[in-house]
Amino acid sequence: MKITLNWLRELVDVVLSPDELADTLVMAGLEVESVDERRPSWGSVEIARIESVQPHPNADRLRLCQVKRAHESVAVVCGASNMQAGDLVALAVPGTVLPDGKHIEQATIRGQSSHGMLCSARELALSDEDGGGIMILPRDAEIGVSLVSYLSAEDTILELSVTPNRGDCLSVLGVAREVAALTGATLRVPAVKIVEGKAAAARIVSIEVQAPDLCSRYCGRVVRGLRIAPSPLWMQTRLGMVGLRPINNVVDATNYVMLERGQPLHAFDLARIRGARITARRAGNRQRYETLDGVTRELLPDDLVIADAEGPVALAGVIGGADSEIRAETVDILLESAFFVPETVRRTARRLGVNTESSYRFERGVDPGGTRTALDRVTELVVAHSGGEIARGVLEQRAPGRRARPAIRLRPARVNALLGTTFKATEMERPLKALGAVVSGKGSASWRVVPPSHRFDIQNEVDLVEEVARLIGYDRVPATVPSIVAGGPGMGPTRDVEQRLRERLRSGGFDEMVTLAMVSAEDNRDFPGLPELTGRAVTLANPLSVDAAELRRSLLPGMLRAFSENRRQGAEHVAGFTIGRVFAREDDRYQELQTLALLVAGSPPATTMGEARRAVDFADLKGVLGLMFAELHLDRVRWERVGTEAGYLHPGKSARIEIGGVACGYVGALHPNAIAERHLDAEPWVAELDLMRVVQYCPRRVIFRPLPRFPAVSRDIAVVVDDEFPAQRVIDAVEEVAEPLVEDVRVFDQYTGSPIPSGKKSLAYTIAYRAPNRTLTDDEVNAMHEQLVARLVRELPLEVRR
Amino acid sequence: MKATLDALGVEIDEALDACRSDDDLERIRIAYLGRKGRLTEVMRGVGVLPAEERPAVGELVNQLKRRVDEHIGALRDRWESERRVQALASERVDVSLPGRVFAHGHVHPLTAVLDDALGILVSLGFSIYEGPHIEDEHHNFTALNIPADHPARDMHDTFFVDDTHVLRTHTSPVQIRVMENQEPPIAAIVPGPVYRHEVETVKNSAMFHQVEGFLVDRHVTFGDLKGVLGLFVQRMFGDDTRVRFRPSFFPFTEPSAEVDISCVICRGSRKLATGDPCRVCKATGWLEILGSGLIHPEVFRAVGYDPEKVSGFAFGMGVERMAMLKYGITDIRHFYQNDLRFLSQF
Repeated sequence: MKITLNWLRELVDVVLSPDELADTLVMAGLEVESVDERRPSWGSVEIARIESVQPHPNADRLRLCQVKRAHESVAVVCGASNMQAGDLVALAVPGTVLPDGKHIEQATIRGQSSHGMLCSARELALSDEDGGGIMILPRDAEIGVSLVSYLSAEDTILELSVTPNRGDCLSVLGVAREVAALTGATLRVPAVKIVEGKAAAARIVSIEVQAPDLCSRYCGRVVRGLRIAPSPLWMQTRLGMVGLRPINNVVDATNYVMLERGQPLHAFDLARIRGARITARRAGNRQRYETLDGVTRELLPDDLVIADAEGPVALAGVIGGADSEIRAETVDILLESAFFVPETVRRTARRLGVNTESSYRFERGVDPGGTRTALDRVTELVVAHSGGEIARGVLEQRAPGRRARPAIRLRPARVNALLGTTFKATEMERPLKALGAVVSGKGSASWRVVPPSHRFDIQNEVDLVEEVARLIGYDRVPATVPSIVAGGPGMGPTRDVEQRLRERLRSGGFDEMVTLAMVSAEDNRDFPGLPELTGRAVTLANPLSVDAAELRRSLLPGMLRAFSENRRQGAEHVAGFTIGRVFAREDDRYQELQTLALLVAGSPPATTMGEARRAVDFADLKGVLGLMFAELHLDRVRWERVGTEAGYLHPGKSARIEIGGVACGYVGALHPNAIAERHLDAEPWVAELDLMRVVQYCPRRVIFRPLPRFPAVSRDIAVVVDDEFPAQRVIDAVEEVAEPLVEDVRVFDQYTGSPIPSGKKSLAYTIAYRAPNRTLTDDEVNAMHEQLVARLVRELPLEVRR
Repeated sequence: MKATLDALGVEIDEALDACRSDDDLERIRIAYLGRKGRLTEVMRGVGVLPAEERPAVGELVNQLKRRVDEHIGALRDRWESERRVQALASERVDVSLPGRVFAHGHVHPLTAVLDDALGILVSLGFSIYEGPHIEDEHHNFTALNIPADHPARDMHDTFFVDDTHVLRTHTSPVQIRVMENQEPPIAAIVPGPVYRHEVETVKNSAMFHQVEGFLVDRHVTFGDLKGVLGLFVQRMFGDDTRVRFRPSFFPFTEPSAEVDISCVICRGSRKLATGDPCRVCKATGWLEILGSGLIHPEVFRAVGYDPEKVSGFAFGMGVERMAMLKYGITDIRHFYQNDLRFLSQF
């Protein structure tokens, strides 16, 4: 919301500089977004009167005017012809600089000397339109006065950001009240003076509130015989400064008073009110209705409308109707000032997607005590600017049963207890009084406070605590550091594991990535995620786009997007991981899993110069995951061939990771179909793991094993097996024997080619033997090894290479 | 015998003087001192001499052997040290060539900032809690004193999942969940993604991250809030960071405060070294960094706490905003595009 400093000064004395004022407001909770000083270049333009207008002796199109300034009379040559003797005009005296940069000099034009220039509104950038010649000022303008001060065109615009609870600050008056409370200045709201005519308003039009639960007060006044015209220039200037487009002298007056008082107002063309009857009622049935912005909108039965005898003429508090709006030919009007319940205005405005200055204020609440004054104020301005006669009396209907506001209990001790302060009772009372609250029961430990009607946001004790703290100043509350003694998991097991594996993956060459949770339906179809996600995809009721219509079931689409974007940027190697939630919905229950995804593709950077580049393969991914499992001390990890459960992976180049016998994730090359569909130019290797399961299998503690005292002896074995034979089978078979002296078995080589027959491969293992209590002899080890090899030959489809 | 030995000594000396390589030296050593060497044979011959001659001759032979040994050793040492000098003069590495490349990934800037914040808060005694991202309206709004049809809901552009569930618009619903599950004292922090129905721009993203913290106990005061956040901000942004609290509005706190820190770019001076106004703080000298306040009694009532018996404070901050300030990032979208040229800078 914008207000101007001059406007504010009409209601309260401001002794602070604009910047000081802004600081004061900010520190009281009214955020000031900007302070914009407007200082027109044409400060020397003054008000003068035309004494005579003569044709220019040497030019048909020019006029020679004699113009009366404060202390002299000067000749001015003018190109316009809309002025006559007696008119008050804007004279740019020599030395003036116009907004377009033009300098006004004393000049001789076609042989006639000219002492300045008569200005049009456009030349002073006061209006976009030409206005058919120079500006003719109203009769109240005074000769010699600077036009800037007459129009209030030199001003400072404050843009305020008002929090939703402070609807009372959505007006110049509201801000003036704050300034008064904060600086001790006196509020001076000018009294409204109106003169009513003879005709009784009640005989011209009637008012009835049929929905008192939605409209607790409705007031109206009738003005007849007015003339629609542009508003006075000062008002147009001021409205323009605060961002409102001037329309005409009636609509501008309603907007002006709304900005000044915070009460939204509406003017109806009385000639278009059918049946001379206005009703505030529910729409009653679904119907279509055209609002004054030219849009036809659908009303629901519970929408509050202002209706005449035949149908709606306005959507209460939201927007007026097209039929009854003020037009150039309007002569009689009905002015409306009402209190509409915030929730009803908000519901209707939200649903229709209309946000007007009026709905914005009603939603946040307007002063229920200000309905009538605002009506009188707008009537005053309308008559002053448009003429016409005010009909006698205010048309008013109020909901029954509205009582005075109840007092709020305030315990001064409670204020200090909550704030951690030692404010004295008198210190607390001062800000409350400055707000206009009535404080009673001051002798006791429990005061009774009645806030002013415009502070409807103050509902209970804690609101008063805030007011006291706010107005005394948050900086007066001493900072204290409590000793925090609370149980709780501290960093917690999940965070701890996440942090460790993040570090480990980074040290394995993987960059951490963050991807968005919204994906397309296609992404979810192609990447259904881990099998634990049994439900269907979660769709958003109001997605931002079809590309972000669902919540991801898998982190992989996001990683693939990052991959292809990086390839587009020329990256040869992409290695990334991300941790995030995936989602599914089962009946009315939502599933959320914290998962980890990895992606590696391209060719890793050479470790030394001249080293041949290679393509990423399965071992890269298995290696980094191994690093991660080692960090977490997870040793019961198995890699199994995948069945059909991960269709997005290459069936021959993928694995299921099992920890402690439970599937925790999938690893592999992306399926060639997916690579083609996504137009990827390299084969990405990806993995996705259920982090909660990983955390679950992490050992709680690591237990030290004593160092061996005797040496290990190792024996190698090479076997020839079918290509399909997994290397792990030999290891499993050795472990199954459970020979206590076998300490370790691992595969160290794989070989195909001559002399190994095609379709076969050679695998080499090394087995370490160790006894805890003695050095094993060669003979002992040989015997044991022979026995083990014999068993392998017996049990597995392999031949031992000798 | 002595003459023989002298002649042998001269012969050996000549051979050694003529010797130029390690191999020749070894050959000479074997020829004279080896098992079948000439000097060895002479030594063997000593045994057959008459007993009275043996000591003198033996001594002569040993002298010669020692002399030869020393001579050989000296030659070896000299050559070895000559070689070392030569090597020192010739061996060079080009220290300007690159080192061997070890794979190394990078921390995401959001994680870096979040880990800093969590580390500080955990060290102050807070514990980490997490909650669902798909929330019911009760936890996301109503229990936090944001009733339906209240303009405060405008502060949260919301993604709806169904009639009663939303993507959490803030981390505050976890406040409710934690309080529903345990009794005070509670010192909790809640990190994680939140979601707003906002079109992606330089400043806005539909998903971003928050850290929320709250302390509930008997006698927690607004002064405590100021103390804890002041400490947090100084550890996070540096000891010389100034902090100010100004009134604001959040439905779930009362009194509420916006927390500003002195601008990290112009250090609160409003101007850059060049004299130009600081654009990061819009020449105000302050940066808004945290929302905070005393937990509203309605929130306590919603979880069954008696607001007369307990009090507490809560605060929340945007991780992206902190990271943008810390690293001078001006476009929020960088965080989610995962461009390696961006990620590799952290």
